[in-house]
Amino acid sequence: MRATITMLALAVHLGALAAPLPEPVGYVMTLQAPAYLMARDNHTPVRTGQAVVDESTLQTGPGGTLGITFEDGTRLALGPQSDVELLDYRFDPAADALALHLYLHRGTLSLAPGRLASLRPDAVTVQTDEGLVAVRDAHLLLKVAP
Amino acid sequence: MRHAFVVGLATLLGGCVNASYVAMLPAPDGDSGSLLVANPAGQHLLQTPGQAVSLGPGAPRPLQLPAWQVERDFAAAQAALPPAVERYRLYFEGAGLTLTERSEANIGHLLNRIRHRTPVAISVIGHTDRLGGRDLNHRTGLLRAQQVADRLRAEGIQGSSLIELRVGSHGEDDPLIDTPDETAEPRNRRVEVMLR
Repeated sequence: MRATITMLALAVHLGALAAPLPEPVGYVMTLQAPAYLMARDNHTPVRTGQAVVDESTLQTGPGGTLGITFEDGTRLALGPQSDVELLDYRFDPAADALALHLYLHRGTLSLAPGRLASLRPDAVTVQTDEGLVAVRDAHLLLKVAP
Repeated sequence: MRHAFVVGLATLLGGCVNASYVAMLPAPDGDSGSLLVANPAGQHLLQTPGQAVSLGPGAPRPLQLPAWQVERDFAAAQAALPPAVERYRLYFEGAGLTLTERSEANIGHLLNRIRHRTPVAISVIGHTDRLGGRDLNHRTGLLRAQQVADRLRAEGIQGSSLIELRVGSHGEDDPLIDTPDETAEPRNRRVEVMLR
């Protein structure tokens, strides 16, 4: 019985290990706590140098800020009390895969475009509850009031 | 009367502070691009830095916002923006793996910049011209990139501030100068180092 449980636990553990680790699409380069990263059901305080993966959510608390540089050189910063979801990021010009789609739920965001926006006009978008912004190689400031 | 004006101004500012909006900053290279703001009620194209557009239930409409308000709303986010990426190109003698004298001399400057950026993520991508087969060129690009990456490691760039050293090759597919196939072009035989 005990052996069975151990085997089962091992199998579950191996199953978790077998799930492929997502590739980092960017890194946290600047940070003022409090700031949090939610990815794959984990909610953790952000560290400088931390990898950001696709389909994660970044949040800042009162006085918190963070800045990310993506693989293509796009830079994203959040002001305090902000909540942004990374819906999709792809940067593989050889495979024609070019996308950066964000959802700003609340707060302030500054986005300085990189290679993605210059390679394809509608590759970079930020969605909000009230509308969508397509970033065509311009520096975007976006505020979503609470 | 003066009292009424103050109250009126406070109401106006209060309205601005609590509203959602989009603003455009000038691009550092002067070529500003544009921002398209759209919702089911309509759309508005922002083409001039310094302009702003409202974001609410109705169609997006131009907003007259004082510069200080935008600066105040985004001061924290702007201060958190990481530094712009830096790109460096290193060139090779002939079809081989030896850096040109000039690129060799630039390595010191590159190392200096790497040590000044904390934290830093580095991409080292090799490129070739179109002389020879595509697969061979991809491998040659990778050899050139590995050569440069080994050199950077040998100079001791690994520290707590180095997040990533990514090495890759775009072979002959990402030329600086477009040429027909089977053409020698020294300017395309390069390694690009990007500091993020």
